[in-house]
Amino acid sequence: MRLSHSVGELGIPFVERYIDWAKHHTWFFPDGRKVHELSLKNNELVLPRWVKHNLGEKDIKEKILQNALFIEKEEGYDIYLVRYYPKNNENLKKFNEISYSEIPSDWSGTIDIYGFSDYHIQSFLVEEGKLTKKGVYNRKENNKENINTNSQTTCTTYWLDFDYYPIEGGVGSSQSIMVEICYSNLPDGGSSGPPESGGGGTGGNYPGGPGNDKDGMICDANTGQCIPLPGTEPYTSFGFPANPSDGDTFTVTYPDGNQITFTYNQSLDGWLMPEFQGLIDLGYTIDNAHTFPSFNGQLLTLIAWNAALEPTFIGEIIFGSAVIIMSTIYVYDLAKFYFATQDKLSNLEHCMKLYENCIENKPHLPCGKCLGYCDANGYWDSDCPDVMVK
Amino acid sequence: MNKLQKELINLFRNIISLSDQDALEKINEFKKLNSSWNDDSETEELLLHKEGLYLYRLNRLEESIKIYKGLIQKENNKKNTNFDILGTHYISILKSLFAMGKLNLVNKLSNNILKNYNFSWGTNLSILTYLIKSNSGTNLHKYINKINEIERNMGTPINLHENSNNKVLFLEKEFRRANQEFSNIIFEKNQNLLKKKLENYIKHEKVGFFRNQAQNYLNSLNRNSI
Repeated sequence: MRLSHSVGELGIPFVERYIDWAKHHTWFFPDGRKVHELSLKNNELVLPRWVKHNLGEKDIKEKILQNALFIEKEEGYDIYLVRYYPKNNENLKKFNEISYSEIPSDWSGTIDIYGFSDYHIQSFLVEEGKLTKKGVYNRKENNKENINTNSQTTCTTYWLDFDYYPIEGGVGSSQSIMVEICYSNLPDGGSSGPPESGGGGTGGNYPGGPGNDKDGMICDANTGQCIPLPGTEPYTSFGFPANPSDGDTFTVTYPDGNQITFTYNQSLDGWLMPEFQGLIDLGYTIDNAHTFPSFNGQLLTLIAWNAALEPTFIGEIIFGSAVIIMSTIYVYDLAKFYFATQDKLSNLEHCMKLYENCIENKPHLPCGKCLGYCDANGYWDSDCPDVMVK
Repeated sequence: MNKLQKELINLFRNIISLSDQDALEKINEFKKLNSSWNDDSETEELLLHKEGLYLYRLNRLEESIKIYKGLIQKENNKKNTNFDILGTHYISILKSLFAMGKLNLVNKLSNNILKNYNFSWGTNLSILTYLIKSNSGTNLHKYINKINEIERNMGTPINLHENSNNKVLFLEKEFRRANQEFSNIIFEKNQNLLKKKLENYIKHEKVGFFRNQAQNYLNSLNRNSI
């Protein structure tokens, strides 16, 4: 696949991007949006000149990672470009060693976030895995590289270099634009400043600006969409063990106290819901199991839990040679399942117990209202508190 | 407890162990067989609420929403509208819309509800959570008073630097956790064990609201045992 786009606000005229499908991270933002981070094959990078100074010109394009974030939404994706600039040659990382959601604790450098059309959204300075400062590029004309510092911000002016290809597949030429960036400290960030330059030139230049963040999120003014800051802990597997063995069980406790115990099936590489495991225990087998793909730690169930989840048909469960078809098997993505069911599996029993106590101990309270609230939310209302006290 | 309440509790208790479809049928049977609830508004509304709840569980979301819309209209027509009941019905609608993936509608409705009504802080917490779940970039600045009220009532220590969205998500998570832990304790049948569990909960619970509730309950148990 190749991505085409228009000229960005900084005037960086890249026309196409090629995805390297072999390099792929997937996770969920804390709000449940699924994210695919994919490596971009091409080498047409935006290169701040301080990076060249710090890393040296040799093989520099191999030292910088340039990825695209595809964030699933109701229809289609929001797309961002993310560039990871190491502070120096001691901070070089491979694709599988760093991602937007997992910044290694030993990594220092800059993370630049761009919109799909290469307009700059935000830069972050990272010191040993922690975001310390943020800023936004502003284009400058006829300026010299310099640094201005006051107690709140450090403003830096420097060159951004990039390759320009006037014709697809043609010969490129190096182009440059001058930008200013004013870095401000992040509330929980350290006091460390920008990475020091490897020598000469701009001498430790690092960019900054007012920032496009809103309530701790990075927001794209062009689309109105926001994403969490780099390194925000992803919503991964709500506690499922990372490397389970066959037969391992894991119990998920929902916020309302309801529990489901899943059993890991190694041959399918999936977590079986109780009703599924129950049939396996009784001697049922899965028809054509050998033809199934690895389910990569997803949930397998015999019940279509929620139409909104769009269950995927994967096969049938049978009893030995009698070939009694028991049920269709569905597969669910762990996090999608969790987000879709955390309210749905509300603990009716729990709410009923409290309702009965309410009627018994507090007949003057509108107990029906409390039951309604409990059914809707999975917990007892703060306004119906002391149902245990007569 | 009157006869109707007893029958209603029996019904609700019995349907817990049934499949959602069977539970829904039982509710409808009860409605047909017991005409007495016709002059009991609370019973009628409870049955409708349960019907809406089971429709939701059966993914018949449009039908569920229709029932809750009817309940809202009914509540609004009353002389003394109970705003918390109204809020609860709105939450049920938000739940269904969310399950349908209609995030824009969830966002719009949550905003409208919060702008037009002043519910209890517990209800506000639920609605604010839906607002954030529907769009993580929503600016909560205009609801800062409601958020402060929730924080004050919950009595939970919180990092002042947290942004409003994270704060609300944190408070909601803490409220659920503390509520659940407290609820699990109060169903302990052994009185001595119950007192011990309550004492331990009071010592460790960070959410002041539930700590106080536990203390009240412990006090009442101690009073009764004198």
